[in-house]
Amino acid sequence: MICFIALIVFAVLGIFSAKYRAYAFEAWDCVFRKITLRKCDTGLDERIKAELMSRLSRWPKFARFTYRHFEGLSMVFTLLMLASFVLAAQGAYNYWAFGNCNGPGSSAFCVFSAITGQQLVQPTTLDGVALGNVSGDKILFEFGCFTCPYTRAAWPGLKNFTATHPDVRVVFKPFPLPNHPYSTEASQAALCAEEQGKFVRYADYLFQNQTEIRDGGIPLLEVLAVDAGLNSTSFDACLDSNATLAQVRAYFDEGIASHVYGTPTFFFEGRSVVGPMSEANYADFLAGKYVVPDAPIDEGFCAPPLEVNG
Amino acid sequence: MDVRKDFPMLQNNPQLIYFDNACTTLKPKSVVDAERRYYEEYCGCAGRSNHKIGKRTEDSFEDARKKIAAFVGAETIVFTKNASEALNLVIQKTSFAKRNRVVSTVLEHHSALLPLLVKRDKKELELAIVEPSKQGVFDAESFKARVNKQTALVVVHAQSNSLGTRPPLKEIVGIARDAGARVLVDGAQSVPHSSTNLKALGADFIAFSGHKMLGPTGIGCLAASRDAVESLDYPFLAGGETIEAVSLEKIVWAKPPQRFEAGIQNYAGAIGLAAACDYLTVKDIHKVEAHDKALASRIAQGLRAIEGVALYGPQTPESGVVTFNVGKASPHEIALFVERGCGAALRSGVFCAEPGMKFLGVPKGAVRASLYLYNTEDECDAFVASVAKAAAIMA
Repeated sequence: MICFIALIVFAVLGIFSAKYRAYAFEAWDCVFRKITLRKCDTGLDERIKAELMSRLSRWPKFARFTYRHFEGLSMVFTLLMLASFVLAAQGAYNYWAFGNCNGPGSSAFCVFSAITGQQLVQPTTLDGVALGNVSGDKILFEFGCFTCPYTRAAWPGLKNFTATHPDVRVVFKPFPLPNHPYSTEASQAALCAEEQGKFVRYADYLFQNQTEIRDGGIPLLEVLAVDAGLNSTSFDACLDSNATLAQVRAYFDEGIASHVYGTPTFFFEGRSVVGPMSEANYADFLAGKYVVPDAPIDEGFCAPPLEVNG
Repeated sequence: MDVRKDFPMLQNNPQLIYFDNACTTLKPKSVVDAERRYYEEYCGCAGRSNHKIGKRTEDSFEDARKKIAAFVGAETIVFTKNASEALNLVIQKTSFAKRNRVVSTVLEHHSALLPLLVKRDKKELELAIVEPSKQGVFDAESFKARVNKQTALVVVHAQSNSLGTRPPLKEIVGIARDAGARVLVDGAQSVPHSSTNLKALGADFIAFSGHKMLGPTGIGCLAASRDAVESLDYPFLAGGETIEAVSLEKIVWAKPPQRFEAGIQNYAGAIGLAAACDYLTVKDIHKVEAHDKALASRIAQGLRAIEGVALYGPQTPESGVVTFNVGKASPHEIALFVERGCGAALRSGVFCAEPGMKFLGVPKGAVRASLYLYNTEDECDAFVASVAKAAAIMA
């Protein structure tokens, strides 16, 4: 059983040394024999065992215990190694699929993120659309996309939460996903509604007509503005304005700087959550008690294309 | 024995405790020099070329033959590449037409046993196997019960490579002689460690290797009486100097030993082996034997005091070999552990004597410490201490 561990260890060491490469081949021979139900006759296991016992011989009782239970201990270590491989593969898949090795919605430490410097970082500016009590001392940040169904799912709960928690101020930063049609235009339209003090109302319309916007485009955004009671002339001018577009891009860049890899992403006091929460979850999140549920992928978040994922 | 300075291997590896002498031995400088001189000063062909270098090679080669023959008290020597080839030569080329019975033992080395088993399976001979006691001790009466008038050959070791035990060779030869059978002695383990005189023993052949007696690898000998070697059939390896004359109609074979030495020989090996014989003669083979036995007894005594160690063979070692196991641990693990502990190079396994080890009840083999003239008491004590550590963990 020790040959399984030896194969991996020597294969890695073999990258750097020809001596270990030979051991790796020997271990592979042994492993191949084992998995084809033949006896491993290379003697590698005996050499490893003897070497280990020799090193442990200064603690005779421990050496004796290890010797007597060598096969069992080898089995345990082999299973642990296999489990760690499975978890590492799962982490790698998560990182590839969601940009975070811990899976959708997690902000826990990810070794790949640490390697690539992609740990989620709370934004440093209060720029954005303020929701709830604008003078509330608890500041909750959200990066959201109006064409993202997960941002939509988060919206009602967030609204209700802010209504019942006057100490909370939400700073909403549009993060239009480039792979969603008209996401940037929808963000621009929402900022234009904010200019007229009707962001929340217009956002309701955007989320309610999210699917249609993909086909309806700008004309539909304009129709929705009328429905929301916005001044059409001002709205249209704002929507055409380069300044509005620049503002949206600035928020997007801020999201990239925060290593946002999906919407919605929430930040509070350095902690973060990727994916929608229910109304009750926000209180837990602010209290630092929120545990990310094991949600299926289709209940996770909207991810941008990998090339824009900071 | 104060000989360690003669061995470059020991000078170059001061931490080495070399206890694998039954496998091969270290070489004294005189042997290395003898070989080197051949290559550097007179590297020619013997028996073919008439130039000075060729003549010097031939003289040195034939001198080596005489010296080695004298060392084992034999009338002639056929050079082979090792003892295995010498054993095979006799077994393959003995005629079993009139007498087809061969008597041998379960403790023989594979080199003797395998050719016999092959011939038995081909129905070319009938094989009778003699078994020793569970301590590996043979009784001459067991041979007497198996040797009869149909016996063509008795194949027996002079010293077991797995246990170091020595069968009653003189009596066995007498029994074979009485029945008119020839005797082939496997002397691979005995010639290096004890005085050998084939003529006095009365046996027909004795096979041994150079490298187990301080000589080079690649050289072995079949020492024989002239009569015995003449009785062997035409060579299984023909060529070069093996003939007197040859035409497309007829071959006239050369007289032995040349008949059995096809092609260019291992001149350097033969010359080196003669130097090894010289070295052992100077050091006195009787003293070497006593030294080996004394050290083996010291080790056996030390190992017996360790709980969990099982010794094989008789109570008092009959030669410089001690064979043992520790608990149920694999022999290889024990040997490797001890090597890492005290630097002792040991042999572990079934020692190319699988049927013998099965007979002794240790089918997975054992660990063997085999000693020689350069080993010391301090080495033995360090070795025993290391085995004690192994037993504390593995027994």
